[in-house]
Amino acid sequence: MTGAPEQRNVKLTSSEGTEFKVERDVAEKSVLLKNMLEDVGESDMAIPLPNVTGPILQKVIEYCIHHRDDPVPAHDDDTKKTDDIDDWDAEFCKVDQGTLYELILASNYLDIKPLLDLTCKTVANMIKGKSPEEIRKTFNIANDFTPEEEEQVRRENEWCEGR
Amino acid sequence: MKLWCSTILFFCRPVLNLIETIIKQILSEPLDYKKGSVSYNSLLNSGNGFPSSSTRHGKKRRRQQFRSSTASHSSQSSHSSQSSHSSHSHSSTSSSSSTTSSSSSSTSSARLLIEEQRRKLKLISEGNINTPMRIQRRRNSVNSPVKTSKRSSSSISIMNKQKHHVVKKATIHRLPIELMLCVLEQLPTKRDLYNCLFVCKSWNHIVTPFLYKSPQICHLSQNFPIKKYGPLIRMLDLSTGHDHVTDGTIQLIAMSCPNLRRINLSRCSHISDASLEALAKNSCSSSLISINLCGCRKITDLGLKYLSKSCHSLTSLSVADCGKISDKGVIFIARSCPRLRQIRLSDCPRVTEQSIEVLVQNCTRLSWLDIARIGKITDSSVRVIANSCGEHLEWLNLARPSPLDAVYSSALVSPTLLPITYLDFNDVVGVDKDDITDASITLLTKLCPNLQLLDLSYMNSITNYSIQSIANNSYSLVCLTIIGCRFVTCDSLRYLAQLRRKSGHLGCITMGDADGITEEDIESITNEPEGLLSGWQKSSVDENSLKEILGGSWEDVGSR
Repeated sequence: MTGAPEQRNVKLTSSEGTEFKVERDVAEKSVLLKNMLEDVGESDMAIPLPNVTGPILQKVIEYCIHHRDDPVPAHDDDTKKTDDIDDWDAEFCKVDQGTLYELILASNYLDIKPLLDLTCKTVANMIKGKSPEEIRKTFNIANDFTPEEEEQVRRENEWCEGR
Repeated sequence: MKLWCSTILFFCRPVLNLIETIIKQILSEPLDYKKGSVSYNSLLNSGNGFPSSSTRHGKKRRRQQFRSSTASHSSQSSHSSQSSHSSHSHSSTSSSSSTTSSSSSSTSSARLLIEEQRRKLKLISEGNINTPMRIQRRRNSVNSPVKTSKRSSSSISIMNKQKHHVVKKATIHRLPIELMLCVLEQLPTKRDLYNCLFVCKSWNHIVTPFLYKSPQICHLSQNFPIKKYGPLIRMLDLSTGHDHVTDGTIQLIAMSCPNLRRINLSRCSHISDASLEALAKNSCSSSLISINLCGCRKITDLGLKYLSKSCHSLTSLSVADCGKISDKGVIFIARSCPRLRQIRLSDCPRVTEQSIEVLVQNCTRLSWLDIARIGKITDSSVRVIANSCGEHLEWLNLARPSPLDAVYSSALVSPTLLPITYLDFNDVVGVDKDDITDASITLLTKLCPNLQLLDLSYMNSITNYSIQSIANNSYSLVCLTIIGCRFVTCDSLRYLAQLRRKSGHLGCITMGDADGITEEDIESITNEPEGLLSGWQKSSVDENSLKEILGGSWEDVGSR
């Protein structure tokens, strides 16, 4: 992201074959693409991204464009803080759960750390402060513990209860 | 704290913040894939009981496989309960330092805190100045490839599998374990993790290892299921519960935790060589890479001999403030732990240059060497250090004991062995013998271009000449401490200001307890038209603001 004077476009192809054109600095928000572009050099070939669907890639690009001028994430001093998501990002993450998981998978695959952090934080926020039952409800998970098993889990881990 | 305020320092807040962020980062990452990382005491030095000690940090240094921690540092500090000042290294030092510092205040020597604005630091840490960025990158490159490669492969496989069936009914189970862990890492409290244990079996299986990898316990309570979950434990920090830790505790841990990699026993003063024997004779001995025994004063050379017999993977060892350790023990370690990268031997007055030379010749990858306030050390050892460790060396603490330090700490260590009178003591330990001279410091700066931290406190022979050679050679230097170097004058400050301008790294200079540089000197230099020190500020911090600067991160170290 050295902001090269002339911006070349980069072509990306989603899993269905849809082609997206993005400017190089936007594409380079993805470490995967950045390394690829560095290795390959200038090329007009579209880069296939078989793991990312069109709508998700669209979202990812939207994120990268919005954050194109962000400095390289120098540190996550935000570790463990789930409430420091800015408005744009929060709005960006107002999507259904399925999309959210796709975004996590895509940002992981494309190696876009800030987006991965953001989406994981968003999911963590859905867990935070909830009881096990509320968590199950949120994520539509069935409780497959028998009462005895649950009791055992409770007993084993009581050292950290209330921490 | 009053005493503390009267110490002298001169440093740059950005650096502290950096340290803090870096430490946090490091902590926030599971440490395992960092090759040589260590749960060390961040601050090599922590010496002389000056707040100065708090300033170590480094930027670039983490480039390599840095090393987390700080734990012992903090631990040390609380250990020096009398002063309760967070950077004292141990009680003996602190108390003596208080004397020192009050005397220094009376001589009104410079005690300054020069700092840049937090804002500026922000810039730095965000990468506008290259180094920190590099840290981050490096760190990523250390971590994420591991993670990513794992992650992406698994996510790919999952994606492929699921593309055909699921898509519509995406549930959180779609996320592979690695990514679930990323989510869990974002949870702010253990309480949330605890709740996750009960959600369903698959969550339980993911969360349990996460919870037990580095359980936050201060000692082994009755209900801690160590027998069952011991194998999951990679890291233990018992320093906060040090009073409850006994040899029995360690024996149980050693038997139950075959995969233990790091253990912080800082200030666990009840433990003896039997603990080390237990660690060495159980299967954790081969996995252990980091042991912090700072302030475990019962430990002797025998304990180190046990460790040396089977803990060959050690990369980090702290026996700071273990006064019974002597050359013999250090030589055992030196001969059998060639992978050592960090070692702290500070405040072990019976360790001398004899073992240090063996150490650096055997462990040539040492990047942290803390030999502050050990026994006799002369020019020749400094040369051996420079020649053996060369480019690897990043943190070097050569601080000598201040006269009062020396008497006090050694008297504490073994009141019967060491005469307490000041003159006798000089003969025994070689205080004030002016053993290290400009020539060897010059050599050091030439051979160790990657030095980031250097502490030369109370070296009574070095002059501006040393500082000049530092300014000419040590382009990586971030922290320099020259407390009590009485022949260093304010000309040195000008050299250092030039170094800062050239390298952009030097972030903190700590000085004081010497007449060579007065507060007026610093003021006049700061106001010089050339602006050599522009952007630096002098300020004095009290204990609270120091805590604020450090963000309590010392306490966190090693506990996650």
